[in-house]
Amino acid sequence: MLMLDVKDVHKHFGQLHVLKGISLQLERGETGVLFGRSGSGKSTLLRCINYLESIDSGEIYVDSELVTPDRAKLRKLRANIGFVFQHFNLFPHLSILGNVTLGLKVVKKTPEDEAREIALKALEDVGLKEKAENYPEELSGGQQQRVAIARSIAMNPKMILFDEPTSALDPELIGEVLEVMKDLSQQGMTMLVVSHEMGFARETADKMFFLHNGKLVEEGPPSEIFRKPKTEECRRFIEAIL
Amino acid sequence: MVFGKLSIADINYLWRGTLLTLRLCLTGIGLGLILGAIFGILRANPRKTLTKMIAAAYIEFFRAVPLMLLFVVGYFGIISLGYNVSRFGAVVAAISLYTGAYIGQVVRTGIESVGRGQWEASVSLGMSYVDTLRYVILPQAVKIMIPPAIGVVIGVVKGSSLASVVGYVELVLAGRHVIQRTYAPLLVMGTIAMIYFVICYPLSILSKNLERKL
Repeated sequence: MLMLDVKDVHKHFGQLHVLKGISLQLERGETGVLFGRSGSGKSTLLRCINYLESIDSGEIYVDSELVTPDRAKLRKLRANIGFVFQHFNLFPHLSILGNVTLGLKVVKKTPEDEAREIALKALEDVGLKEKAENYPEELSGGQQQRVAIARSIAMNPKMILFDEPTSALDPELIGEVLEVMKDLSQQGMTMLVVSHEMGFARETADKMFFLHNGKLVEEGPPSEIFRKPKTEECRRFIEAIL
Repeated sequence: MVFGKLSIADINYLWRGTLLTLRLCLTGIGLGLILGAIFGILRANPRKTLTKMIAAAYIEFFRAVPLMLLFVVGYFGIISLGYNVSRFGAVVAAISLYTGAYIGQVVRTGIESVGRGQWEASVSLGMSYVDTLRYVILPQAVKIMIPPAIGVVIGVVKGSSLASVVGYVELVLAGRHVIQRTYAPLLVMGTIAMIYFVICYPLSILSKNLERKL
């Protein structure tokens, strides 16, 4: 059963052709890792999937629903797609619990008590239940990113998109975030992750996608990508970052 | 009994001027804050809507026109067109529109200074534009808006003295009347300066306290 179906997506920023006909697919429960040089279009592609960026042509389906600019449909779609940002983007004026319950209360109209219960469960999943009453600024980067993941989980999404979730973190904090992501993947969450964490990709990814100059030049399971990359660009890139 | 050269009647007259200044400022600035909030929010809309363009036109126009001119046009201008307008109504309207434009700009700048990441995180949860403003952006923006907004308010309180040009007997005009009776310009103007200070200084303190608390 397809969860994500990206069909021939093109995107320009002014003159710049950033996505040149990308097609890729993820089955329900799969974890995909998007990687490639900076400027290759991987973050842009991820942001197109929940329409943080518009696309010029092509189609994107999430669980058979077309991603469209129609605002009411888009809100519904976004409520079903988690998005974890490089810089966490927690709400600084709300407590950790407030951060995790806001979407439930405002979007899903979940009653206060129930929202609290769901949020505490999500925080427990990321190992931060005891921080519920703290504020984002009191947490380390790694903890903040785990809260951001809990904020996504609490909405019970069909899929979570991760945009370089560990690249703003100090090296010693990366592990705890990847650990949480690995757990999620093992529990069957569909995930698409932009990341250069090759250890994570090797252990967790079902599929890897290598983007180069706005094109998907190579895809396959990590075993193939790491052992015998088909293209020169991919081979060189992997050598450079390993 | 005299206070220097000022009689009780003079002091009462200045007191009445003070009350009229306060009445003008409280009403005019109060309405102006409401106008400013509405037009500022409309102008901050990232989409090019008709309401955004109207808000932009309003803000830019009234920021470019001297307050004194608004008083004159608002009162004499309207009367010259044959309409009956109360002096108080005219000066309150002028102050409201003027304050609204400046506060509108403060509100817009405050909203726009909240990072794009906050919008993206909110809409990614499925929140609407209005909900995002209400629950995420405005609570953060208000903090940024307070110091410049209080600066605007203080400026308008002092600017309200220009209402004297249409004969509204606020503090400064009351003072001039008293000077004509007493020939004590320094004493009277000094007293008036003190009164403005007593009105405006607490606003600065309020600004600092709110900034710290929020």
